[in-house]
Amino acid sequence: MRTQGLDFMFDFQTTNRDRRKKKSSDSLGDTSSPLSQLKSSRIGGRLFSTESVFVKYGNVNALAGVDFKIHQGEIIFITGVSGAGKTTLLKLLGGFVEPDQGRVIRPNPKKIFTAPIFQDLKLYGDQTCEKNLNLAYDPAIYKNRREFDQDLLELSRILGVQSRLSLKVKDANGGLKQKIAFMRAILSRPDVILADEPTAALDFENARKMYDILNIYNVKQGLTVVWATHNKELVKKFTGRMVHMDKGRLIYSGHACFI
Amino acid sequence: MFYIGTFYRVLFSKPLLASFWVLSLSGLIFTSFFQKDVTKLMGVKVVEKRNPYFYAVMPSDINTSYIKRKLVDIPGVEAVSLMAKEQITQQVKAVLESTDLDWEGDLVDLNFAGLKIDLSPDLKSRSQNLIRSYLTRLTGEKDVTLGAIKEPLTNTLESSKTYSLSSYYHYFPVLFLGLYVITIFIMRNSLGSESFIIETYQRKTKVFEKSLFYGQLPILALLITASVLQGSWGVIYFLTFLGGLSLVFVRLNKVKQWN
Repeated sequence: MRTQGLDFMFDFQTTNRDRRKKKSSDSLGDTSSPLSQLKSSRIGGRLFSTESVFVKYGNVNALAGVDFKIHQGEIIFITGVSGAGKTTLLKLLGGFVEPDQGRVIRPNPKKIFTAPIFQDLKLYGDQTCEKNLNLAYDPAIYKNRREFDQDLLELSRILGVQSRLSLKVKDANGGLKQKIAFMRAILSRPDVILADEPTAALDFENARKMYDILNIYNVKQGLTVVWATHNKELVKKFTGRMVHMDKGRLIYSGHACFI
Repeated sequence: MFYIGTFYRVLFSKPLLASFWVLSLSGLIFTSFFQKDVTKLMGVKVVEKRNPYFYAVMPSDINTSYIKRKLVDIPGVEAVSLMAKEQITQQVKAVLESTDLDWEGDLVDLNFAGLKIDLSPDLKSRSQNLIRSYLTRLTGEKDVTLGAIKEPLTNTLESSKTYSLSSYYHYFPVLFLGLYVITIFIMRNSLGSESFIIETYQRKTKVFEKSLFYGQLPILALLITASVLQGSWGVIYFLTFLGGLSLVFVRLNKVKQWN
């Protein structure tokens, strides 16, 4: 069970740009260099596996014969047009839908904790951002409340939402909402993050910042990330494993540099 | 404590729902454990009455029993009562003192008999005068002194079948129980979505069921205490209800996901 805080991230936001660049080439994973990322990522045992999975919504095949495996420590981008089956695949992996046909193997939730970032965010509109984040406070993984508060404060500082935590979610803009949903998932200290278009309302800089945070967790703590996105800018910079879907079928799964 | 906190946090985040919950619970407790007091309260009607009466003073040698018998037979006379000797003396002295004459009480012969004549509440003044005239005729005009008619207002508590709900009493606990169930039923969506978020971002399972169960524990403790104090066994009914309710909501648990 992961119990480390965000201490390892302190350098990330306190040092100057050059130092950050230097660090990123060492440990964050330089996204312009596929080799450095392959070196830094610690690919472990298999976590998820789908075998000829079909998921239907009425007459529509949301997933049609998907064979797919995810290993521990991987960062995977799932791309595809709207309706391609990205969300359903993430829901399937998260256990929110069951296959109509085929088999899906998920890790034991007692050993591997999976935190989703929902496309519709699932935040409480009439509560403040901070209260929404507090729902991720689990005494089983934090030594005390102070530790959680420190992590929350640190993350909010990195993402630049520190001054807006007291805002009610219904009054927040789309970008802030997505950042809160992202922070909530991170604060639960998961082993796997299933992010369904978490940067849809964010500009490239902010999306990149989120990606960097996940990358740090991946490198330092072996966090597995499955990220469905439309953000072409981000995908272009990414050089890890990429899964492309179309009409419920898995078209391509492999390293981005081979596309 | 976490689950109790979750239950009551969700409940009291909706003031209207919380009011219904408090109302139904208080109603349930009062109608189950304080049946005697509640029926007494409900079976009684407050009635405002006018009771006109007047005094008649006459020499003691007049046959007051005969006059009393004659008066009681007249319609409009409710009751005729003989006044005690002390009361007559008091009344006569009060009348004499009010005349501002220099009476020496000991020298005055206070050998009088007195009657108090109670009239019907709805009697018109013409009829009242007729009764007074009849009394004057019976005793002789010279021998009787009539006091003024007094009409004091009195509030009396009367048991009225029209207002009594005692006969429907056994429906009340059921009514409040129904209200309680409806409150929890409405609340289940909010509790379900909060449980879903907690289960998703904390290492906890079955938050919905546990919150629902532990949330009832303080109420159960309250009811057991009331049972012991009142010596009644209403708690058995509540336990049966609680068991049934739990089964219903665990069955409905499928709707708890935030979708």
